[in-house]
Amino acid sequence: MEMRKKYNRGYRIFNMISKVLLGLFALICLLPFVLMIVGSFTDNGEVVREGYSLFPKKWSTGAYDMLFSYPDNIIRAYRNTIIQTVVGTFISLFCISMTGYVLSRQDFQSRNVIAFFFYFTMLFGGGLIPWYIVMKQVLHLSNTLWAIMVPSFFSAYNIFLMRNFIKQGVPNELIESSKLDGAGDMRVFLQIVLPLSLPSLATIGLFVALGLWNDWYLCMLFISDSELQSLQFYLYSMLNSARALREIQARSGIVLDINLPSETSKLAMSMVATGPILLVYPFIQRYFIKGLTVGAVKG
Amino acid sequence: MSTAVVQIKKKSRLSRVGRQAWLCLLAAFVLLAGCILLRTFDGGAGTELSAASAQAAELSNALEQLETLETRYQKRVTQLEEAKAALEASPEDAKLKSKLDRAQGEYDKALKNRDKQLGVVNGMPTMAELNDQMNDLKESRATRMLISNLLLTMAFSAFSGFMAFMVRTIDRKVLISIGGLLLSCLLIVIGVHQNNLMPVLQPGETMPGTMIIAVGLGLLAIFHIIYWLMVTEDKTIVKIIISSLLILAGATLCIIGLFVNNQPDSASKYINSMSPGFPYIFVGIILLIIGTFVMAMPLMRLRYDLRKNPVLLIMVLPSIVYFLITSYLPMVGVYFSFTSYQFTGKFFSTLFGSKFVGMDNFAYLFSSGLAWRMTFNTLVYNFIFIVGGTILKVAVAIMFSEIAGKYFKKTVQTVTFLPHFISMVMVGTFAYNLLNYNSGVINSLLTSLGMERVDFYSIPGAWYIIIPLVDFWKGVGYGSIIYVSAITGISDDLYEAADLDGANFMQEIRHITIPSIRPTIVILTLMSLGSIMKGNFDLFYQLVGESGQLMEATEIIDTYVWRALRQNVQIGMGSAAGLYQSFVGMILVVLVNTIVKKIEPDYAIF
Repeated sequence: MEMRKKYNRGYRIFNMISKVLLGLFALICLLPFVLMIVGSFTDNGEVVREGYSLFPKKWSTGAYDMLFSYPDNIIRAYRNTIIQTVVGTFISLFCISMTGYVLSRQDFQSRNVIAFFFYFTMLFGGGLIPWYIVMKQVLHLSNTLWAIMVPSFFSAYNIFLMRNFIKQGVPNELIESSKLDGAGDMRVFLQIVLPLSLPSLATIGLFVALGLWNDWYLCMLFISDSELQSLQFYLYSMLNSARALREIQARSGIVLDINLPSETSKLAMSMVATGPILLVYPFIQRYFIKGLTVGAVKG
Repeated sequence: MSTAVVQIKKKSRLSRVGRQAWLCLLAAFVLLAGCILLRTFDGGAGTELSAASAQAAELSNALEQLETLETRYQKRVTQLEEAKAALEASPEDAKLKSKLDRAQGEYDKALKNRDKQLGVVNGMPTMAELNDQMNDLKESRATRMLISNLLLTMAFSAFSGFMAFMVRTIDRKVLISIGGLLLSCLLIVIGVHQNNLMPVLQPGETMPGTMIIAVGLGLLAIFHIIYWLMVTEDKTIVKIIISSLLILAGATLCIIGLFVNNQPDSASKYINSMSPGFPYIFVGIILLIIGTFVMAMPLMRLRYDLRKNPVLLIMVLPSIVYFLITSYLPMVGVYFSFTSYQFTGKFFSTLFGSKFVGMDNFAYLFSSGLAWRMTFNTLVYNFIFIVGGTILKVAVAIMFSEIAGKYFKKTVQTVTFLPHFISMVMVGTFAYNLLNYNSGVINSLLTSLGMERVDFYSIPGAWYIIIPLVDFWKGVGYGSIIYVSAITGISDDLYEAADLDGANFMQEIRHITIPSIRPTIVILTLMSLGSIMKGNFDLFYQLVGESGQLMEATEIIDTYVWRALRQNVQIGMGSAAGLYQSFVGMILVVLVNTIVKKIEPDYAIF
């Protein structure tokens, strides 16, 4: 294919233009991250005087020093986020794969009825408010980390994705023959289906984990106890309160005697909240590509 | 493609259904829409009526208070008299004198309170005036309600016809049972109409139409059972007995609730609380629905699995329970949108305890223009997201798969993917750092170029551009993957043949690449059209926050529902908006799916 193109008319021009455009797009995607990283290591005084710059004159780790001089809040937020991500991902992987496996079994006659039962929840829902009231008043989940994890335990979309993965990855004959050898359904699931679908589990697990790690919305809805705040919500409330105070100062001209987080320390906080994702990102992106292309196959 | 259509038609039952069935479904939707519209846009009569009844409730409270104040006043009068008499008997007694002073003070206070309350009551319209007003409103509304209820009845019958067509062709037996359903519904409508014509109830009076409604309900349950007996394919005797019992029990409970509501002493309480028979009716309706489900579902398969695959059933049970609680229980909660919410701390008591206000919430949403604004914004934004996003994704995918250079490609992919992985909080921060007035990057650039600063956060119109741009920034790289994989799937032979024919590069793209990925584009676009009523709350909230200035241009249904829940606490109104969104969204998905099935049968979801 590559050979063919080289001799085709117009290809060189196209190649040039495309490379420039894609390069620009990539640059736009990357720039905020670079600014964030560089900014967080810039001297605060310089940012205040001259604004952000890609090539600061004076580097400094002052923002991080300041941030970690009272690390309690950050450590707590990290702990909560890690707990909710790890526990939530494992429980939901178990639930989703178990349900997906049952739905993928061809000899399970009720599978279509049950699949429709799940599918209907994607079509129609009660809306946010009745759901919120159920979570709060029936399940009593407010101010627990469960409030953030429970919504991801089962999702109809992930169940169907898992069902498709298992249908493709685990041959039906294998299940049948192991049943003939005397294995029960649960055993087939645990010892044959689960090990064979490890890559798909990784894909769905990463979907779920990313959602849990990045969650701020459920935290805002259900959690008022600052002990249980997640990292992203902590970041959000820190930035938001600083932003609101600055607006007030700018509009009224009154300088409030409140210790505002400095510009660079906000960037440092953003780095602390996003860093882990940036670190593991190169290793996990291929699983996302896989999930996306398989998900396109009808549900 | 025609052979594919034939094959699909053989496979699925839904596709076997003929044109009559879809016509029936369409008729049902149209009739239902007419019914809802008639109720929602009643020229404000519904709102006025509930305002009047609220006033009446207030008045009766005020009257009650006045009565207690009056008795207290009388008591003070006698106390004062007694104190005076005692003082006259022994005028020098200082103790008695102070007692008289105290009694005088108490008397003054009581008199003042009574007069104040009297003033309040006199300032209100009298009960007779309110009653007259309510009666007028009721009368003017009765015809409209009658037509609306008739439409509802017809919609119900049309839906029954649809169900019957889906399972089998309609014959005389089915037609008779549908006729029976229609008749019993008509009875109920007549009864309701009589009640609607009834002037405001005085204590001790009862609703005149109750008996007719009860008979209609009983007949409805019986014809309902007959209808499903005609229609259903799986005629297992146990199933029929269970479901019939459920349906009959449900109808009986409804009738009991009706009569409980209609007891003379409970009628006057209607005004300021929920009707006392409501719990009965509610449970009755749930039983009716469950009974109908049991009747309609082919249970043979379930019984097969119970015998052959019990472990699988147990394995799938947790998810069923989960969805029942977190998805189906909230569906019951859409009832909140027909109530004026009163918090009591428990889900069901709140549900039962809130006063039923009919379509008032919807009427307010639409007549105040709120609903139009947020629907408009939701549709406009999603339209931009879909059209712009698709064009950009396809463009990026084509460029990406055609360029040379392995490492360049890899780098581009990795980098353009990155925005998908960060949280919306970060996206909001980036946008703020870019756009804010004092230290935003754009404004700093503008000043250094010697231009005026722009306060983006006070220009609503700008956000029709900013929000989509941010959405593209976050989503295009990731979303283009699907098109890249579609392009990878195109056979090389096509390009080679085109080369031999002397096609140049752009011609190949236009006549081979784009037509080959057309199905993918069409399907993905249609799928997103199905969810065009759903907004991306995270994106809007993190970019705009709670800024009132920008609300005009950035209020979508999801942000409105959120504000109704967390800021204004208008639970009924918020639920109504949510239900509106869900309902229209579902119709859109079904519609889109029907279209997909026509164009590319293999891609249809159901």
